[in-house]
Amino acid sequence: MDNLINNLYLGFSVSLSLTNAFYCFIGVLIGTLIGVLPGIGPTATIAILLPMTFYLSPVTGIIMLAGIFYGAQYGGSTTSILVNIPGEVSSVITTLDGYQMAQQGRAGPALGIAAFGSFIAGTLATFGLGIVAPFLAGIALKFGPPEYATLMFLALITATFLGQKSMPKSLAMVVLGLILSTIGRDTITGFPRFTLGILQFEDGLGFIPLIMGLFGISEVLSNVEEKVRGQIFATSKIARLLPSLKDWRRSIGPILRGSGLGFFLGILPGGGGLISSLASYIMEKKISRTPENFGTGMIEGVAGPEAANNAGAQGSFIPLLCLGIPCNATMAILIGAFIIHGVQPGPLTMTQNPELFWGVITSMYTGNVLLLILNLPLIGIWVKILKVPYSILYPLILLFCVVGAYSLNNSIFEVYLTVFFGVLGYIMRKIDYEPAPMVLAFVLGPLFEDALGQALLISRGDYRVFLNRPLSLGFLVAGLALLAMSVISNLQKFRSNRMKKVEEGD
Amino acid sequence: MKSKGLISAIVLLSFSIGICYQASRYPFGTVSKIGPGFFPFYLSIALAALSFIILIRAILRGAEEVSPSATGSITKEKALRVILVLIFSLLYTWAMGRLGFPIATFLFIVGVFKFVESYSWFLSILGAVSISLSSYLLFGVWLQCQFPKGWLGI
Repeated sequence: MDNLINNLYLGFSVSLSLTNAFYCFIGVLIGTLIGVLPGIGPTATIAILLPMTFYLSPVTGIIMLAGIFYGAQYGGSTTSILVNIPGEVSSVITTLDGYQMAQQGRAGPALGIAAFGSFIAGTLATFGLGIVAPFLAGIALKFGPPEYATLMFLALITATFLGQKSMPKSLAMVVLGLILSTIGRDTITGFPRFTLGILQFEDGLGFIPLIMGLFGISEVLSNVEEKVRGQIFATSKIARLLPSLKDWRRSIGPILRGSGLGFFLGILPGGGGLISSLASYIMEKKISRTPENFGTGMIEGVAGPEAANNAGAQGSFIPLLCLGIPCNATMAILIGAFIIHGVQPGPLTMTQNPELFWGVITSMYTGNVLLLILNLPLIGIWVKILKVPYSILYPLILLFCVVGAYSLNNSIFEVYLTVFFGVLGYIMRKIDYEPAPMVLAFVLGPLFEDALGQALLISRGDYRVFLNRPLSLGFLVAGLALLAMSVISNLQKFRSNRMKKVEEGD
Repeated sequence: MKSKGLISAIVLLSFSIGICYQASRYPFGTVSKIGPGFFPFYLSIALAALSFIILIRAILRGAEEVSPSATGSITKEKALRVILVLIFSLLYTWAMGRLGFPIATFLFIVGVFKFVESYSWFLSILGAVSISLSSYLLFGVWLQCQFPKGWLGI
């Protein structure tokens, strides 16, 4: 306990420094902004703004980027409640009861409980992170190359669950990401691979052009198909933001349950966000005495999911900070940000870079306080921002992409590469391939290859090294079991589809 | 959707064959000391196997599930907008290296506002001037990005 207090003290001394608190504010402000705006998500924003953080110290840069991520969870709920448009995927559930509350003239308490619920969840999740992270990092310190190699294998298999679409396609994207990560000089021998004689490829394929293209430009291209001009949303009047005592009594249980559930689901690969809020909604509906009233403006249906998605967003930092393994696309980009800033996230981060580790964790608490301040009094401004037409917004997004890609190495080549990946990402969306597993694999690829090579080197080429060590065996079995489960459920789906077709044919 | 699945599988399959061929020309190493060709070679085999599965599924069609987000039908008008935005982005990149950042940004914004979004000339030019100026002040002056110098020396 003493240790935790000391660590949190160290963290707060970093995150409350003037510079860090300022950039944390900028991060949550941008996060709320893009959370409010439909058509641009936190993943794309972090990808686009990553080059801007090169001018900052690693800890400041990461604090700002993390702020964008969890700030977007707050912003997304505002539009869900007021105009029935989820700014973020994770706020979809909030529309169910939140918008109904707004329709009944209770927009204020809905917004209020969403903000307070998120704040309480954020606070609990910060402590959760402080307790779980050192424990997990302690275990991870015992990892050798075989454990890392099998853990990467497990992470790559679970990455396929990030794609909610066809499993073979997701797996193909994972393998494609791994192949793309081999472009450039081999880390051990320095042998150039797949460089096509292009000098810029010798250092490997740029991470920034890849993510900016796949998430930033392709998102614009998909959204730009429809011509939407000056959409004006009818917003409900907001009278009183503070929830009444009765609202609090009904909400505190869902908030606490949502925080716990969201946090643990956030740790799992592919978890966080939508899954956390959905799970909380289902749970609240199940234990409610009046489940039939859900969807008609129940405050429990706002408080629980909102707490869960915020706790989930913070929980998803655990695998990143402790194991160096991202569990969703945004975390994959953040891992890239760490590496670009010269920090390899993993079990050693906590001991080698305690300022960074605890600074980032405690900044989330600071960020949550700032978000509460930003969200409640400024709600009127956020609603006005909704009225900015996309036709003005997307040229600016493209501008940011071009500048970001260029400023990385002052190279026009990288901009062309970004546009190329933008087109690729657009085509992938059209034919149902998802970029998230590919990006995750691209980040993990070099680590996986190194761990695999080292494991085989120490065992002198004996593959049993992965089976003889209990942790490594555990990861391997878990990975294979997940794969098998996935294959079986896919085959079942395939069969039932065929049966349906045959019956229809009759 | 069948043809999309089919074409994507064939593209992936050809890509994996290309990678396999290229990787087989790199030093393979031994199992105890893997060379630069080892990892990509096995990856290309895995990709080939997966594309084969996608191909079979596309042919059998049964399991080809299409999510609502994959907006299958793309009309001529939609395609034209996407292509125009893409062309303007490419021209922007090209112009940035030759005309400099502010002028290229100005032309890009005018292009998008006028020809994609059909704003009036006045609004397009006004928007382009304000965006190019403010973005130059933000990136070029404040954040000191080293943009290529164009005609105006900026």
